[in-house]
Amino acid sequence: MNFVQKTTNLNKVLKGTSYVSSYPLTPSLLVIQEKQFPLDNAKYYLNVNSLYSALPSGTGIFRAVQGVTVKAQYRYVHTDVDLPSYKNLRRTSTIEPTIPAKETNEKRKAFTYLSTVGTLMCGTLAAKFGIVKVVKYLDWNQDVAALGTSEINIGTIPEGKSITFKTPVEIDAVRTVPIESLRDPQSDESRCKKKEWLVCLGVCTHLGCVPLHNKGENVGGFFCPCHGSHYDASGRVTNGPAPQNLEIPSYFFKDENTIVVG
Amino acid sequence: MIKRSFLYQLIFKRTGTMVLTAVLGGIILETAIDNISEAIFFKYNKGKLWDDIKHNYVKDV
Repeated sequence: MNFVQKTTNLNKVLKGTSYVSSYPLTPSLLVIQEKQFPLDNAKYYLNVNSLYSALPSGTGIFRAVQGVTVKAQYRYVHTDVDLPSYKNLRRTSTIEPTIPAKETNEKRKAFTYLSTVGTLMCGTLAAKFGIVKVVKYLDWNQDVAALGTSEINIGTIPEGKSITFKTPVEIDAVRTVPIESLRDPQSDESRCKKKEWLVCLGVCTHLGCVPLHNKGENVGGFFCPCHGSHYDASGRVTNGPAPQNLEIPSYFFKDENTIVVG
Repeated sequence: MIKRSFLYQLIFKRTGTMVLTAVLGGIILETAIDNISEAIFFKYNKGKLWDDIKHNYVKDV
């Protein structure tokens, strides 16, 4: 039988329940489950058979194996030692071994996740403060921002004279032109908050010259003398090398006669 | 006291709701911290703030 020839195989089977030894034993006392079996000292137990013959028959729990390949080991039965109980260290929901882990999810995980969410909350807050700090650092200073706005009293500007004041003819012209025909399509409504007033930067979008008012191909439009860009009365480019319409700054009407630019 | 099972089933079980809770909770937490600290500041400095001593310096209030 394979088992007999290769005793290592047998050893594996026996390990769980048996004493296994490669040496001829001369034990004076065997202890099996609190019962003591005195052996005859005068007799030598030189091999498995002799040792086995000394055992009380019928118990079936005690074996000795002898062989070259059998690992030398002694195993003792510690039936007198209680297995330690870790009940006091366990969660109350997991003490009962028959309840599946799935059913105790809530009780086991809720608090852990609660602390995670708490940490995430504080982390979100910290991240927000960090971002705000960076953005504020990159932003204008408050004093610079305060100087950046300027109020213009448009009540004193006579009609037609100012470069920002459109006559009804011009308004009609800029409102009826098809937007699709423009290079940078923008409607007059989106560029002017009040139809009579065009507020824009007097800087050509081509190379930054100052366009002249009431010059060029458009009525009430602008013409850049440097490279010949034409803008209409809404500041939209109609001809020439300029790529975009005249830039509109942020502005609002404080009251009927005052614009705040910036 | 909110029940644990309620929290777990509605919020913690799904990562999406958990993160959402964290972000919304962060907003609430910030507001709470702001308001509470401000209240403590005003209580501690009562009588010393500009609103309390304004009438000594500005006539037409």
